[in-house]
Amino acid sequence: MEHNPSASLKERINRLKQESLALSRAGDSFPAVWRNALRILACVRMMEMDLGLEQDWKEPASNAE
Amino acid sequence: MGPETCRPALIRETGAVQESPYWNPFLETLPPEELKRLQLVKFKKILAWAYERSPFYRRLYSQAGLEPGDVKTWEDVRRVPKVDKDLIKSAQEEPPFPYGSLLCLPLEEVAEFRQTSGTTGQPVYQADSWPDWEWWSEAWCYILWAQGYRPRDRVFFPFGYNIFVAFWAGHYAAEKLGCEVVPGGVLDTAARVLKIQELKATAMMGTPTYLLNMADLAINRLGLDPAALTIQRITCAGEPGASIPSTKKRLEQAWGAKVFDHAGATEIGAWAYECAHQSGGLHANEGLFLVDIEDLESGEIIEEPGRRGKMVITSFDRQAQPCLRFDSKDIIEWAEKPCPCGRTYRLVKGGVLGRADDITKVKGVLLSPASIEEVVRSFPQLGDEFAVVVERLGDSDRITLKIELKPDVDKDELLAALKDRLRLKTNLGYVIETYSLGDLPRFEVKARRFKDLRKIH
Repeated sequence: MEHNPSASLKERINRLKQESLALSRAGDSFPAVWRNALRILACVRMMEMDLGLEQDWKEPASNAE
Repeated sequence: MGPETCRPALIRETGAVQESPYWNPFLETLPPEELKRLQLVKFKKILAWAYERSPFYRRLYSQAGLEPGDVKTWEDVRRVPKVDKDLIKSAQEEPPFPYGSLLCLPLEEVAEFRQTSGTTGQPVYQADSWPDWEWWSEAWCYILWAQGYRPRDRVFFPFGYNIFVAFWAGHYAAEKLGCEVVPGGVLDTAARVLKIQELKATAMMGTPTYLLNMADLAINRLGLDPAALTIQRITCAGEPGASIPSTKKRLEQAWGAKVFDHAGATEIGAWAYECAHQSGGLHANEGLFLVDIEDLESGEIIEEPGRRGKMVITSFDRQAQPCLRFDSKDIIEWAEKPCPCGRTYRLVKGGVLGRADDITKVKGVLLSPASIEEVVRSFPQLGDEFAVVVERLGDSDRITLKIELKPDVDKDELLAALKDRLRLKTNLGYVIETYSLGDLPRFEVKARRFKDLRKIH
């Protein structure tokens, strides 16, 4: 089992996110680029969710149970 | 760009990815203490999201004197006010139409409309953004992968593609997995069976009631044995049937296929699934949902196995119309033993056992419609359909069970055995009315077999 998604996986997802964000902004006069970039971003969000990348939760919160 | 660069690793017939029993080898096997830590962080995040963006949630929490920063521990989580269907409906009377003050995104970001069936009155309208819709299919991917769906499958959907969410997300998840999807939408039941036969479909999804009706029609109208067709696996939803052993057995025998259950709801999402090990329960998808069981009387959180209570559930990742601490009225309990599949997600024993508002007292005894179904479906001499009517006659309650008899059965012997088994299972006596096969009403979506006339008169 993989309980620590590799740094390279995280880095690639982040690069994809940054590039897709840039594409969605660059597509402001190009609907096909704008909307397809947004769809990629929805998939990026799923990968972040699946790998627990959305937030820094690995460190125990001091005030948690 | 050449054709090869356009087709990056689409087909992976062999190798680790096909053999992985888990859609998500990371989350589904996360050690419980890490999972709890992740859940607490995710709960705080969705709480802040809802508070900051939804007038409904802000008002609800403000009235309770709560701000997101106040929630630090699990005790704090359990003090967050719950919502239920009635609260959601009243919030939907406020602007913006039609979703009301629950909405956390501008209307132009809503990509999908669905609604609940509204059997208890005004339906709930559900808004989903495109990322939310992607999330729906992601949640279903956990289900389908765990049940053995792979890209080689041809999946048939005998489903009306209507305004209810039902199998829409299953359709998109099957696509996402790489399966070939056959939308059997406007075909009638006979045409659907014939299309399954023609295309040699390997999997399908439906309510237990409808899939039993399909099998019955295949045998009696088309002269086809559904078990001789090519369906290998079936995923059920909408009714508890696929977790009721006798109904599951009927379906498996009728179709010659493995039958799997899952649980979900429009307001929540697809929150639990049976895996290929079928160890008597559904895995709560605890990476995407917080599933709590509350004692029906005291409201105390039930962590131990074997104690039934009411589910209170939070979807962590749904943004347009989030669902936090939803009082679902579903009755569930945790299983004693972990599943041998290796998932650390806890098992909900026997799936959803019923609804708090369906479980009713008759003659002072708690009666669950699911327990009657389990008994009726355990008699092979009986047809698939049945109906239960509870009414008050003078000072006492009467339960009438309507059943269909298959031809050439010894009626007296059967009725005596049925009454005995019902009494053993439910501690109640029944008046039994018999009908010929095919005479009771059929259902295409969710079956409504239980009528409590005491609540009407």
